[in-house]
Amino acid sequence: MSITLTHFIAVSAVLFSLGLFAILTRRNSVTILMGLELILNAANLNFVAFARFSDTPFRGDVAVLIVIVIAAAETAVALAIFINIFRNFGSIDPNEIKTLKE
Amino acid sequence: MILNTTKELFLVYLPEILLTGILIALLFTDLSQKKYKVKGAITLIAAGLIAAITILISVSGWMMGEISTGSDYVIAVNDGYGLILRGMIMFTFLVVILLTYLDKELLAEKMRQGQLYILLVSFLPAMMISVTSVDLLLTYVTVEFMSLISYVLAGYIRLSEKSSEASIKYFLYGASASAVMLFGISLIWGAAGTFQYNEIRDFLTETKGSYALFGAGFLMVVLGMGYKMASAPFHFWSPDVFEGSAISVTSLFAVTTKVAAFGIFARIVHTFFPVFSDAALAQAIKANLNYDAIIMVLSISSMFIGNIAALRQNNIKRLLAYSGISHAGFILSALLISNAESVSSLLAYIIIYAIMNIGAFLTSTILVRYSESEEISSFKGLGYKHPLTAVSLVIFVVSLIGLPPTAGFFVKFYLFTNLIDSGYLVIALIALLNTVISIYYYFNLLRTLYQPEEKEISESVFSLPMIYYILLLMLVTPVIIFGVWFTPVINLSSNFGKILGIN
Amino acid sequence: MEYFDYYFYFFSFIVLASAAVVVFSKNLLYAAVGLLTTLVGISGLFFLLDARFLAFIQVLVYVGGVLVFIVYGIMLTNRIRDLQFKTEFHFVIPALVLTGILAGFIIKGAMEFREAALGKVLKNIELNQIALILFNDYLIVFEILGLLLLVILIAASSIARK
Repeated sequence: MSITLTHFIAVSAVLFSLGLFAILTRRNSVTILMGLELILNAANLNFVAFARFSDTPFRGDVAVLIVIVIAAAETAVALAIFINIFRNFGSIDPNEIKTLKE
Repeated sequence: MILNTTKELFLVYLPEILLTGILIALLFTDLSQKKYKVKGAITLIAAGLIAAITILISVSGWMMGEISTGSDYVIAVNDGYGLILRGMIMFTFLVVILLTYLDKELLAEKMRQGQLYILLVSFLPAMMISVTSVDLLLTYVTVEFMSLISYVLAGYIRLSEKSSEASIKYFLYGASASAVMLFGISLIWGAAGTFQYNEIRDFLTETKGSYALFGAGFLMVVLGMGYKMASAPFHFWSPDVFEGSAISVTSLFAVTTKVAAFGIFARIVHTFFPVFSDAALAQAIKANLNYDAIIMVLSISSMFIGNIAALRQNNIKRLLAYSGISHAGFILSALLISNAESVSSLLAYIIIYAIMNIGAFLTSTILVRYSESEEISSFKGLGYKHPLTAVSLVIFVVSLIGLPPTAGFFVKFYLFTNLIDSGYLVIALIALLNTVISIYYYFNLLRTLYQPEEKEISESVFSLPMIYYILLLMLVTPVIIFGVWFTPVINLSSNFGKILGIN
Repeated sequence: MEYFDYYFYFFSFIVLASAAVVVFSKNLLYAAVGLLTTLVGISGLFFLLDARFLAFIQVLVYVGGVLVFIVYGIMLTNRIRDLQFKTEFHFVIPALVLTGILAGFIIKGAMEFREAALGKVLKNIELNQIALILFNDYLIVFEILGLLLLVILIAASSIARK
């Protein structure tokens, strides 16, 4: 059996689901951030895999480059926010942080 | 007409370029000055904004067309719809910038003032380009730009637990929503093989592609944009973030970024599903992908959740957050309209919503400054002490409810008649019911203003600078005048509010 | 093209197994190492798809930059002395159901979409093609990303400092 586009999309779909699962179930902000990275990578895999079967293949590659830059910026902001919150609360567990009423 | 020479591109984006120049100037003044002058920064930004609005009207407004940098690929368009939204973004931002001067919490930290204004101004180029974008990648990048700066600004009050909490909640939910949205974009790219809105629409009208992939991708994009618009069921962040942030930052999130988010989402929906330009085509797409059911669910749930949760709020920022959620429902319902006045009723609602909501935020910021508290119960008696501010708040709130003789009434009337005309009588009735519910909590706010004070508070030393009275007048006048003479708004939004590529 | 198949299964196994480590490991440092191998595995899949430039960038920026950031995040926000890297789970069952449905839906969509063997894909991806698109069609995006990086630098340093 030779490898088709569907194989690549299956890998990216499972990767996306794992990332989403981490976001929904984990309680530590850093783990949620890692789940986000998994989703972004699943999207990147999609961009390249679909691009190889499209009429304008390089547009997908450019999308991956752009997403990598955004991911780096997002991680930088995340780290700054975590440090800020750690200074105030001594924890980055979102369930322990409850000043605002529901 | 295709705009692709350097000169044309420069002139179309001149307002954005000017504002980026101001950002650089602010960066250098922050680095060179020992003692940061907040007044100077505000004056510079306000002057820049007024110049940019003038340029937008006098230069960019005369160059309609598709924007392409380099080859023939159209990445953005300069159309009337985009121009009106860019103008509204700058206008509301002007009020927000002046509001920051009244915000004690935000300016408390002297070391952070310089960076604060750099971050605030950096919102503008991204937001203004986002409403012109017709490419999913450009849209994603600009939306993410706004979001990343928003996460930081939400937590800008140093050593405030509430503010840091708002920031991390906003970040965790928001980054998840935009990651899912990106995955959705990758699925749309897979199904359609393109990022450009018009080409995606062509793919949809061919009726031979894979709708399953496109549908999954579109749902994920709706999730991401629904989060940005704070429409239910993706609204849960909004009250907490609004309460935790400083009030001027809240008004930025509540008005300016929302105008941009509605603009982006409406352009996506109207371009993908050309309901009013080609009804037969729209029916063909609807048979495969029932997109208006999605919008109906978002719209109805936003109206109900926003209004019912607002009934028991005592914090002015939370009240306005829930009021914003219910208004998101009204604006989304405008996307269902299928007659020729679809875009114009949407734009008219966005214009008037932005004016009255920024006015409500301006007056509540002033009242918070007088009463030193954000609880509504502490506003007692302020109606007698500060009649001008209080009367303005009454006018804005009456307009937010949608009672005559204010602009809010006419814009709702216009929306409802168009909804009924397109056959959505049930939605119009639900919207009317929600308007009735909203009367209760808005009037509760007004009643508190004119209740007698329980105890004598020491006279506040704060006196409002003259410029804010002028600003109040500038915002009250359109709300009253357009309430009795609505033709200019309808003319503006129907003659000018054209989305390029669909009508 | 037998080798191609083996490489594909090898890299997919690395990606999915280490992603599972990221999600299910209770120790944050193990999760970070899992993320590292996931990213390297994705880079391998990029190689298989003839996206060599992206594979290099993936290793350079992601593994070299983003991952170091995340490890910093773990180190700075956990009490190192107590070695409290443990975290817990909540809402497991609903999340399992939801993600299972989503994954199935996407794979189903991809299956009915286009079945094409990978042997026929274009073989020579030229770097200048990427550059032409990035600096022509997406010039505005490129400019905005430049501005974004400047502003993020200011934003992050202004809220993270004491």
